[in-house]
Amino acid sequence: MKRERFIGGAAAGFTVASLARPASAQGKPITIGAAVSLSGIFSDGGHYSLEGYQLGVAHINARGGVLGRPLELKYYDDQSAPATGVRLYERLINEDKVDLVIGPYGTAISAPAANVAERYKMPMLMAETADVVMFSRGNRWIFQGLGPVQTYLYGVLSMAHDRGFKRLAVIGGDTAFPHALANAVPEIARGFGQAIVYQEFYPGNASDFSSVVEKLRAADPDVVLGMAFPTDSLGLIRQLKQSNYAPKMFYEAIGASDPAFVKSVGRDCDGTLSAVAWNFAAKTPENAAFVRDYQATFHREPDYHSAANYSAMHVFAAAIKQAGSINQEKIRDALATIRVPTLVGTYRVNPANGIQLGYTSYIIQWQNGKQEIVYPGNVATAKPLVPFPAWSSPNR
Amino acid sequence: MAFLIVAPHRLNGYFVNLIYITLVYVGLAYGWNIISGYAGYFSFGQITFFGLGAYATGFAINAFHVYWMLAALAGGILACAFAFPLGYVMLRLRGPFFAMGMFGMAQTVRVLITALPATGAGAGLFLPPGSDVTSVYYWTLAVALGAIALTIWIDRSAFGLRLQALREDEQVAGTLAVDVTRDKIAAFALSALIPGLLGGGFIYFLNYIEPDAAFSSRFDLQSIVMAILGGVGTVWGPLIGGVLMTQISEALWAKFPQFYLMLFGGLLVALLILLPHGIVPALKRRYE
Repeated sequence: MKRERFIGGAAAGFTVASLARPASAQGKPITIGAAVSLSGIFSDGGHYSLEGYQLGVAHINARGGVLGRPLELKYYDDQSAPATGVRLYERLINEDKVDLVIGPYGTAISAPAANVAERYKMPMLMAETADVVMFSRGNRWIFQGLGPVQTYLYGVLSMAHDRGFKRLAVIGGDTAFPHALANAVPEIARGFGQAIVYQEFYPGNASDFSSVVEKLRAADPDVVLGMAFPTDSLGLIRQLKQSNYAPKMFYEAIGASDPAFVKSVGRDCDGTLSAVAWNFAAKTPENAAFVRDYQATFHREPDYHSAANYSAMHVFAAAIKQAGSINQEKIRDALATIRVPTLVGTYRVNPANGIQLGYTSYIIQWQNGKQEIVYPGNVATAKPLVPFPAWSSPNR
Repeated sequence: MAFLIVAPHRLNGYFVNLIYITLVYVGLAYGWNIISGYAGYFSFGQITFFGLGAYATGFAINAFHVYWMLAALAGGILACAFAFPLGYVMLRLRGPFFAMGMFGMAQTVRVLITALPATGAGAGLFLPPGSDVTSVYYWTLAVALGAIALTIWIDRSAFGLRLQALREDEQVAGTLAVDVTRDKIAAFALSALIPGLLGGGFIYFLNYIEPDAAFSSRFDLQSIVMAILGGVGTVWGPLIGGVLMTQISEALWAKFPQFYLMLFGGLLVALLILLPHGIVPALKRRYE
């Protein structure tokens, strides 16, 4: 499995390199440095992120680059480890002398990396940070490039509200991002008159969920919100089936958003809700070109990390254009104020703290082994399947 | 030596950072070497003390607004103090039972610490913004040098001889009027002090900590491999193994972001097959 991906990655690198040869952009490349999680717990999302960056750079260069210069991506593997991430940005800035830096994956690495951006006074676009805590610490050099955590949840709680579901259970791995998501639930739930009847954080590397599921059954919630990464998302679904337990709505934040999720769980994923930061079904020429070239280059479906990072490159390009040169202060000011239409929405941040205002998320549901957008209604590709079908149901 | 002292003022941030992380690993390898190399109690859980030191430091800084080095000192002392009752219980186990027991202990302490509201649980703990890398560098340099000095002393002292005696045969050592319980607990406490002090520096360095980073099994395993590669129970083994491994790993990592893990793993296996007792013992045999 690992080996397969690895060879795929290497082959993809070649194609991107050939795509990246600029048509018209000449001159010294503008280098953008990135920490990417290619090994360790974040490596699933990390590979999607890297591919998004690579395709973004290739597309921008194919259209003549920025300020007449091509973009060039310089990246290292941060091993999903915060200390490595920090060292990597120090290396990119001091040794490789990159012109700009772009943020790493996840809160645990982004939080310390944000200090490096501040120390060197280089703007850092955080394309992989939905958590909002680090943006409230007075660091004027970081900008959020994903919809904030609230957007991952609002739609699903709104759907529950429409159906009169009031009892919520929140479970998740005991790591930074699941906590960030869980912390966003109470305020939204209050607005809908919903209550959290059960909450539990299991160890981040847990593999047995039988007791979690029994406790859920005992608490009898209408909606189960699982703030789960790929491994525990898988384990939770398998356990629901094995314990023959089906809440009225079942949501898994991160793991079930991966378009390849069905390959690991099969059709047992049907009925599961998740959130994606990208409307993959949008019928726009940009979207079509992105999906087509992504599949041609990397031989798989893009996920929302790919789209968000692809968009981040375009936001960076727009900010450089507005600044007119590689001037960190001017690019910072541009990132704080510009609006850039992208694949994942219109980039627009709160200039006071860098929190994203323009991006949103979409609620998807696995139906017949495919992801369908079920919220918001105006872009939905299918009607939501609620309640979650019982395990004995003939609909499975 | 002079180079290490002036480094933060002469080198760029990347090299300071690289030396910093090398010193952390070297310090951890020296800490492990005391209980596992000299006393022969192979521990898979020294990260317990690193995490404890990190969280204690973070708590002290946030709650009492003390200067970070004072907080880190308190963190180190707390880790060391905790090792006394822990050692009293755990050191009754031997061989693989102790190794696995300590592995479990690291997980237990992690769960207990992160269950406290003050640690932010899995969401992590932020320190007040702004950290001064130079001061962390000097702190870590001092701890690593202290660990080396401590090892030199142990290697030459009667205490060190008693530890080696109990490593070779604990029962015989016991009959030879060696107070084995007292000595091994002392060794355990010393080997806990070092990671405790390093953990305090680490949280200040990152400005943020979460359980995966504080109780990282990567730190534990890598520092053990470094000590083994350099030579277990030797004075210079952890230094040589630590410096060599971090530099090779860094060079491969930078040059081959997609392949380095495989290359590094292969190299490590080859080195351990060629030098099963580590570098220092191999050199000794050759030149004696």
